[in-house]
Amino acid sequence: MIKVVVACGGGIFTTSVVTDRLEEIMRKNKIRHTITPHKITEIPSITGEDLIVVTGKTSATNDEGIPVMIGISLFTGVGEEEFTEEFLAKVKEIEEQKGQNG
Amino acid sequence: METLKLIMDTFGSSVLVPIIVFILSLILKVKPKTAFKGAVQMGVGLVAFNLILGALMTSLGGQVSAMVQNTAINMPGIDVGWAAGAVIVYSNTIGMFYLVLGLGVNLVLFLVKWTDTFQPTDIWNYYQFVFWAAIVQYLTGNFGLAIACAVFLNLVVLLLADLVGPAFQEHYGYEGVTSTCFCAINAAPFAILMKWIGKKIHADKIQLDPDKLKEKLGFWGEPMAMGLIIGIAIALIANWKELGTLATWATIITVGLTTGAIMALYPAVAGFFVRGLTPISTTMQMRVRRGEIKRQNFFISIDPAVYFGESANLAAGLILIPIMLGISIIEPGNKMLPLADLAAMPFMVESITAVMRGNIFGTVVTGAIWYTIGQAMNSTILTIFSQAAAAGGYKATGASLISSWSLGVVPWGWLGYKAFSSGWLWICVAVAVYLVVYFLFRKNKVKWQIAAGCSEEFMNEKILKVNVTETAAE
Repeated sequence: MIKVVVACGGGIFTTSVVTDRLEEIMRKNKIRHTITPHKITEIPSITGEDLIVVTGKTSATNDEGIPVMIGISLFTGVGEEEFTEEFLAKVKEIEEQKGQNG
Repeated sequence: METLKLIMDTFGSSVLVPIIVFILSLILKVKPKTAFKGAVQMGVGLVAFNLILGALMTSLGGQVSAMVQNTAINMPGIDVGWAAGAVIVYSNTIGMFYLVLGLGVNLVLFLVKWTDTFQPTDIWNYYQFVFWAAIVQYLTGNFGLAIACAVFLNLVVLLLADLVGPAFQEHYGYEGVTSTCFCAINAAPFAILMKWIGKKIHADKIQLDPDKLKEKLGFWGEPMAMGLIIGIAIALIANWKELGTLATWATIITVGLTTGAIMALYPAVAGFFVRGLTPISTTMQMRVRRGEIKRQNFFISIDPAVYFGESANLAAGLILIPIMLGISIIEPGNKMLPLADLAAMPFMVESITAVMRGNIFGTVVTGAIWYTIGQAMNSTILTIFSQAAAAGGYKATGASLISSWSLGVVPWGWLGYKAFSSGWLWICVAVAVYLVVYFLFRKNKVKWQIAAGCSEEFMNEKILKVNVTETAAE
């Protein structure tokens, strides 16, 4: 189970688009997941999640060290394939880590 | 016409809006399954909005009403936020109608090269200017006039989008984009003026560090905490004569918690609502990217949320939150305390940040002055917009009024509504001014875009050179 956060400015429009795309990608690859919407301003204080995908460029980092990925390409469609590969690699990495710890 | 009205009244907006959006989606070649899913979620979002606004109105609405009656503070306006503003606009006949008409207008204006901006990808943000057209409709009762006002403001929005496009691309670092979100781009001309003044008095030398500021001001970006505090503050003032009883304190804390809860739930509810329009936006985007539109050098309009988190912009927006809250309390004649839209402040300064090239001090000063003017204008439209809201099914309680702060404090929108509700002479003046500015802009496009914050290097390399190589390749 992988817990993903999608964050944008208002937590609404771009979040909806990116959430739908991520759901599609993860379903295709049979990854069990949850997706929660958040705001960019909340990124530092998010806890208990595995991966944060932001819909715009930001320099924000998470206090707990949860990795932050820039998912703008899922919104605009430019560089979508590269992002999908990167995203799946990251998910795999996180799942392996979890496997070791658990 | 009679049957149409009967159908509209019987079914109501939570049924009709999704149906219109579904049909529109199919026409624009969205996959039927995706379109249907989106439309259903949109309907669910509308119903959920009814519930959540109802809760806000009974708890906070009553308190604001009591505050106005019991004290000398005359601030009946409840800021229900831009998302609720959008729901209200799209629940009105004009909002539904403009989804269809606006798309056509946008496509025609783009194809005849009146504008460089491809707006249909930003269909969700039509409500930003249709808001003003809804006010024209309720003031004059003239649907045609309201539609004319919407088209006029759409032209203004496109002019602004063309103006700020290159600066947005350079500052925010996305190629080929712009924004057609009225509240995000409306301050650009004023920012150009302020930048010029700043240079004259050497105020442009003042630099602030965005990352440090963001850490210190992070709290202001948290809607739940803001809702809690403002809810408690309003209830305290409303009940100040009865602070001796335990029941009063229970009310005060409950109102605070309810307001906080609503702020926290907003994004989730609004997330449902927008899902009706996201398929249209993404399908249009895909078709543009696939090269279905054969045109060199154009800007695709994308949602302003992608610019929101840029360091300087976020920092400037967060600093402005307490500043605008303070101004709204002391500004004479102001009738609305910003609430749900406080967290949207970074959206409001996006064009200023781009014009100022990330100078936070300049952005904050410009934003504070511009929206103080906007607040004065906003105070004059609350009563009439509340009527539009009531017609869409969202009624305010008692002496309270509802509107969205970020939609109402846009001075160009206010001027547009004023012109279109003050007779033919003023409409002609507005159109004439627009045409003069438009043709001046077209003639000096590059110069104006550089004044709006784009550097000469970026203009030559990314905006103009793209043109040269593409022509050469053909």
